[in-house]
Amino acid sequence: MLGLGMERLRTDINRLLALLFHQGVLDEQYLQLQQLQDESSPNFVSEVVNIYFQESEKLLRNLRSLLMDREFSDYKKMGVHLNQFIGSSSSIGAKRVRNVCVAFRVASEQNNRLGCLRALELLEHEYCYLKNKLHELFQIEQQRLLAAAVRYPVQH
Amino acid sequence: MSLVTNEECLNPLLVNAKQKSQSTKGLKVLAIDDNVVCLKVLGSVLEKCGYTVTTTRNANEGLEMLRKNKESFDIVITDVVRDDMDGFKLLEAIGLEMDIPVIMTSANGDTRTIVEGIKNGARDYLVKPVKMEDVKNIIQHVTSKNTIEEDESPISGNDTNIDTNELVQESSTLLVKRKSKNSLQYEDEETNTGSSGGESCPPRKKNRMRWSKEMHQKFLDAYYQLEADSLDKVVPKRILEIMNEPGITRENVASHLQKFRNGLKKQNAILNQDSHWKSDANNIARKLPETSNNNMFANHKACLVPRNQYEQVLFQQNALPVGNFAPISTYSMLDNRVYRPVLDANALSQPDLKRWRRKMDDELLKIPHNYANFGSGQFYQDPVSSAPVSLNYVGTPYQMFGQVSVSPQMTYISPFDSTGLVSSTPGQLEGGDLVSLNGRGVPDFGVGANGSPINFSLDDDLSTIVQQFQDISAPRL
Repeated sequence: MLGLGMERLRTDINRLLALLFHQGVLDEQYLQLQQLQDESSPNFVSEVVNIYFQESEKLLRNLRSLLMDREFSDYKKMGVHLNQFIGSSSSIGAKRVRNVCVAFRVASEQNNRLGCLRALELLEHEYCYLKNKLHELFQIEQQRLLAAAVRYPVQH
Repeated sequence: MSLVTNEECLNPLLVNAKQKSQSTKGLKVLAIDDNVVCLKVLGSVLEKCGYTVTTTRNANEGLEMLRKNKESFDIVITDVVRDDMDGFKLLEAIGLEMDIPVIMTSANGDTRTIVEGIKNGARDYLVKPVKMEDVKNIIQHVTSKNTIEEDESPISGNDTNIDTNELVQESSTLLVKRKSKNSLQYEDEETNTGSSGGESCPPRKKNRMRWSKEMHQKFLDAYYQLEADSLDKVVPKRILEIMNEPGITRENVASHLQKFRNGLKKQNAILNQDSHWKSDANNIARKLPETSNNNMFANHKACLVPRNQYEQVLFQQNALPVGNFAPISTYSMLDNRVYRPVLDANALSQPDLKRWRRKMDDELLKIPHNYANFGSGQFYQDPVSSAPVSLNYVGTPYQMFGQVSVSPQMTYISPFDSTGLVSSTPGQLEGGDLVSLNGRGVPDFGVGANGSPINFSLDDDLSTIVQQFQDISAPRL
């Protein structure tokens, strides 16, 4: 029974990944991350992704507070934040988030406040979607690991 | 794209195999990046490639580490966009203080950023996200270059030879290729070598030569110098000697010379095409009806032929100014006699035109004083019969006097009378009134500049012509 469960889990993971790739949410860099995961760093992907989430939320908060400010004029600072965001997103393989950031950066270079606001909204939306999906992915992965562990119980 | 594998890299360096094996494995890399995520990924990638990695977020800390122990690191990879210190300054500092190759990374693949980085001494650059393949290739490239430079002097070129334009060009071509998500195009890496400036590359690669403006100028000087002696002397070997430029080979010169010659040939072909036009003009002109008394005009065929294709287009669009000639207003318009310049086919080339025009100007100036000149054929006047015909041939109204265009239906101002008296006032340039035709289609020889009527009986030639014209009953269109 656990064996069947494992199969199902594995196909779930693959299906989800395939979906994300198809939607353009993730790209090949994510596969790179997976390749970097090995025995020496077994949780590499989830570690990196969690750091990414933390950083991104900080950045998003900063960006929002900058834009909400009435007397906002520091587009340069926003550009710096965005640069960070672009860098980290591309290192993760979060393609859609990265693209929105690039568009955001363009709007900020043009000092286009309205464009920036729209981009921010879109960015938050994309980021939320990514986060949810990745969480889901990790959950299934977790279950699969558990199932695998149970399958081969450690003999004390 | 050509990926170079480890083996190919090793071949020329078999001599230094020991050193080589040292350089690819166990390389000590210092990675500096503001962004935690990127740093972690980069660190992991480098470790996976087999290098010893130290990471830091702080640039100053990184510099400290470098300074403390100069031998401790072989390569530095750093992000250029940072908060605490200007990334480019950092690049510069590392490059200058310690002779360690620096690779820059950046989130944006802006050409400007790349060029800045390279100008400041980056050996190479990576656009984020950094992939394992990229990193491996770059480091191999950078270290293999290092090994070569330690042993031999750079193969060719030095910083001064390459001007910034080329760097930009090379960087941008590099950028374009990198932007495609394919793996590195190793070939381009060879030609863009950042701080070392010159085109040094592993010996197995052929130098890709770029001809800068200065070099081309030198080449041209050498070429013309040799050509002056004799055309045979223009050989790549001699050119190379004269140019006396380090870093180019005879082959470079040879190929450049060939391109140059081809270019010359093309130019000549275009010029010859003009003369092709000339011969066409001849044919067409001959189709004009020639009256028997055209002896005077025998040499002067009415034709307006475009000298090149651009003019041809204008020509067809009725936009061609008067046959590439100066507007008639520059001819002294002393009466309302319009001298539509007629060229013979041989006079179509520009320098001749100028000469001819000048001659004509001179002659025209003599009009009021000496109508005898008229017979010499230097005043070109279309036989009336051919005037409209030539216009028809042309198909377009001539633009005379600049903006004024005269339609084939020429307005005639006054009937011709034997005394040559004309009612139109000389020198009036009003639209449409420029060419007066009498009822017989004979151009009015208006009043002379000094106001005296033209007396044809004065001149035998003239009277003959007039006689002949009078025989023509109607203008032949």
